[in-house]
Amino acid sequence: MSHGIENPDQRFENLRQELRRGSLPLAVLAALRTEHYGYTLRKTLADHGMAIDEGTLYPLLRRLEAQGLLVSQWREEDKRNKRFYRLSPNGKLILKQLLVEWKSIHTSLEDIF
Amino acid sequence: MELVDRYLQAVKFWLPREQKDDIIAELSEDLRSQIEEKEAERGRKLADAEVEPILKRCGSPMKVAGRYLPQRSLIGPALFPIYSVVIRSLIFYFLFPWLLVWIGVAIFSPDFRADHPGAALFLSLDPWWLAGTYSLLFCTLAFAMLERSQMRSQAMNQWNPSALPVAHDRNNISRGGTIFELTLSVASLALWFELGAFRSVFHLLDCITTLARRE
Repeated sequence: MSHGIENPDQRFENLRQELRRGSLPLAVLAALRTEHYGYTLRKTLADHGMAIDEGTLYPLLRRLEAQGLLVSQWREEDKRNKRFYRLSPNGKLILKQLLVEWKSIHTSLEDIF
Repeated sequence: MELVDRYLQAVKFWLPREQKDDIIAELSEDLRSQIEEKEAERGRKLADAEVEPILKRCGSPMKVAGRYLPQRSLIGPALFPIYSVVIRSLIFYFLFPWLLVWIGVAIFSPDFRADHPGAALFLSLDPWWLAGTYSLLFCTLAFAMLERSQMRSQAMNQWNPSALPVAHDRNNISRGGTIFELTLSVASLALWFELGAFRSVFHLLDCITTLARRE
């Protein structure tokens, strides 16, 4: 039972990651209002305090694309092929709804605190 | 970059065939961008020892590839509690009593030991191994098939709170519960006999008779 031997720091880290994991799709969708390829998207998110590793970001991008929320395109830039992502029209709509939901959650939590 | 190529090759091995090239091209681009950025900062090529931390942070090849695959489980969290009860019942009501009887017979019956000298004593436990393996395998396969079928979602959604069993009173032994336990025990015994344990029982009875005669 690994839960029994978790120290408080580990427990906090696990809960922190769980909390951030839930917010990542929203952060990715919001950042992709501007077109990015994977590496610049990761840097943009990290610059805003939402660092995400490549092993998490790329599968998430694929899932969001499969759901029709993103569109992607391979293009050459600086003599290298890169896959550029941006929000699809459906993604824009969902992002708007999610932002409303996010603000509502934030307000509710502020009330509870 | 040889280390990066080796890493990408290892990730590629675990990926679904139709997505392999696409995923590797994208991951490769990210890793090479990271390395180039560090090389630009330091004004020189990175040594393998400096590339290693970048790859380690990315994660083990199998773990990275696993994130691209749909989440799968042989028996999901919805069915697992029922599966767990069935397996535990199988062990405690069927396999464990059989093993206890075998141990009793092996210890107390000289005739049984004479019939099964040396390694043959342990070979006489073959039906137990077979019954255990097949019954556990059959249960697991049956639950895995149930998991795959759509029956689960329908069954889980069509439930009625009024049909739940009455709250258990620890001070009261219910007649229904006793009948259920008795039925289960009889069914286990019947299956046990059917699977060839009768020889062990015969020897146990023989052993008890011998002991009684001695006294």
